[in-house]
Amino acid sequence: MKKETGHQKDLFKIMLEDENFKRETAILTSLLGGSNINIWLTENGMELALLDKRKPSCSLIKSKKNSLKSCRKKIISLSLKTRRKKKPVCFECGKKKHGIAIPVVQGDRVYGHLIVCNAENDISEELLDLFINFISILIREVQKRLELSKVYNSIRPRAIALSTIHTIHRIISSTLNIDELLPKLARLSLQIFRADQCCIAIKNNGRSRPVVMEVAKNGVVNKHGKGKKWCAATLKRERVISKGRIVSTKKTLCVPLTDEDVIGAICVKGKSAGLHFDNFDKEILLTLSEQAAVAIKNAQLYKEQEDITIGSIKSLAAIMDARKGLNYKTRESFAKIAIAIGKELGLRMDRIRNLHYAVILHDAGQMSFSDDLLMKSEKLTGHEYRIIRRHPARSAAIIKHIPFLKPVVPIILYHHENYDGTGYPKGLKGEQIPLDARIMSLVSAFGAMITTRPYRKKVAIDTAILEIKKNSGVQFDPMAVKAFLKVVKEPAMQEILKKGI
Amino acid sequence: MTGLKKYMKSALYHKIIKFFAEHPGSIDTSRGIATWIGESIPRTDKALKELAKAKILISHVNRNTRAYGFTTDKKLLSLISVRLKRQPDMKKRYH
Repeated sequence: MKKETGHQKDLFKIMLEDENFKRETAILTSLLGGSNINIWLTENGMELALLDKRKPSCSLIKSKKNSLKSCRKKIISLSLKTRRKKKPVCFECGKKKHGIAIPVVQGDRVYGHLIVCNAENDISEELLDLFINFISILIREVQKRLELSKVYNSIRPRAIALSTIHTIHRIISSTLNIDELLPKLARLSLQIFRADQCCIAIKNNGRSRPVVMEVAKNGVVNKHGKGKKWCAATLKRERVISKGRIVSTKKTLCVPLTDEDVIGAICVKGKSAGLHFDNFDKEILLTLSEQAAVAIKNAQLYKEQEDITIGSIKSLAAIMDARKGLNYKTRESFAKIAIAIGKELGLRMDRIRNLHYAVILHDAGQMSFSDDLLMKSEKLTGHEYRIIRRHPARSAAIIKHIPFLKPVVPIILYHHENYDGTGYPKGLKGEQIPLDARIMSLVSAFGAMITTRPYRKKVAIDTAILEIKKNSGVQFDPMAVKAFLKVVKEPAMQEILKKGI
Repeated sequence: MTGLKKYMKSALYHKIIKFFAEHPGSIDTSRGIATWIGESIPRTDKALKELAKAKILISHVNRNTRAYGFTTDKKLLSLISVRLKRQPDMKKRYH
């Protein structure tokens, strides 16, 4: 017996599982005379299957060798006959048993036949009508179930893909750092398309070649990998960026990243498990590219804005340093120490960035002090010292108006607080002082020690390190000191200190 | 290798792995995956975290979003495929 196929499977399933149909099938078969009725289903006159997968209960088949084969032959020829007529045909088999072949018709098409045989009684007109009615109800039910499964099978993957696109949008739209965004985007593309390689190229204004970022299969960003050449060559050859063309082959998909203008391109290559890219993949990549283009543009704008802000901060710092006889390079060296400590303590990137700004701007409040006070080489009077102690609050007051620098305010305001509570302006103690401010306090003190000031000469780096160590738990946070001691030991940091100061 | 055998014994983990095997390109949050497999969000979330720890899933984390995708490890993928063929469905049984 052949394996059931599409319609047969559904028809049988309903006849065997649906209680109503099961009852009706039993009534109809009993009307035909007994329980030895065989119900066959053919599909397009070719496939033949028996309901319930039992062996046909037919004395003819049981008695003769090869009679099942001849029986099947007869049934198939009957089905071909009725197929042309599209009408039920009654028949009598070799054992003088009665049977009926009813075409399963839907619209103009005959999908197959329901063949009932081995009936004891002759099939009357009334019984035939009942059978036809039964079949039409059965077909409607199958049709309904098929439509439902068709909808399920076509809508569900699309809905899942849509949900994936929505999730990707959420992941990429909250990243404003272009250096984070591009590898993330490439990794996600690899994952969605199950591709071997992905590359993202961004148009580089003022230069002829786009910047290509390539990501290998294992998700490692590799700007200089082999894929870079392939990506650049494909983009140039197919004019993906210059003309905004789409490349869609079985092995490669390349689409431009368009946000008003073409800003770059995204390519995926080599679908895993020997599969090929199809139109569905192309559609998904196009949707993804639209979202990616917006996210990249936003990140680029954010970067531009940040560069302007940092430029202003650096100019301000340079003016301050010129008044105090320092150079900007020195301040940048201290910023590097602060960043390294922040990283050592596991701070997030945004907090590290704020720490960087704080190091540059922490003395902005001294702008309001006279040169005489700033450059005084003798001991400060009580009044002068009180003025100097105001500089964290003044610095904070200056920068608080820049929304971008709001998170930097507490770092600057509390960078003269001591771990034991003896600092200023509020006399905060231990963990009451923000961690970033505790780092800043250490870096600021270290910086003050190893640079010459009008009122004293600089000390050697090793001496300053010893001093920091001595004050661990007193002036400085022991955790920050531990990280600092680790950081300054590194050869790269030693080099920075030598060159910067 | 990754405790795959252990995970496949649980109906929930089985459902998640089967979902990703059927939709390997899918990347979704725990809420999304819970919807697709018809399970509760907290339970799905816990299982997803566990599967990500076992490297059967890859987690993509952002400030407010944690999404999961299927592993790209070929060896693991073929192991999963063999296990799913052997055990395509599972009756509800939670561990």
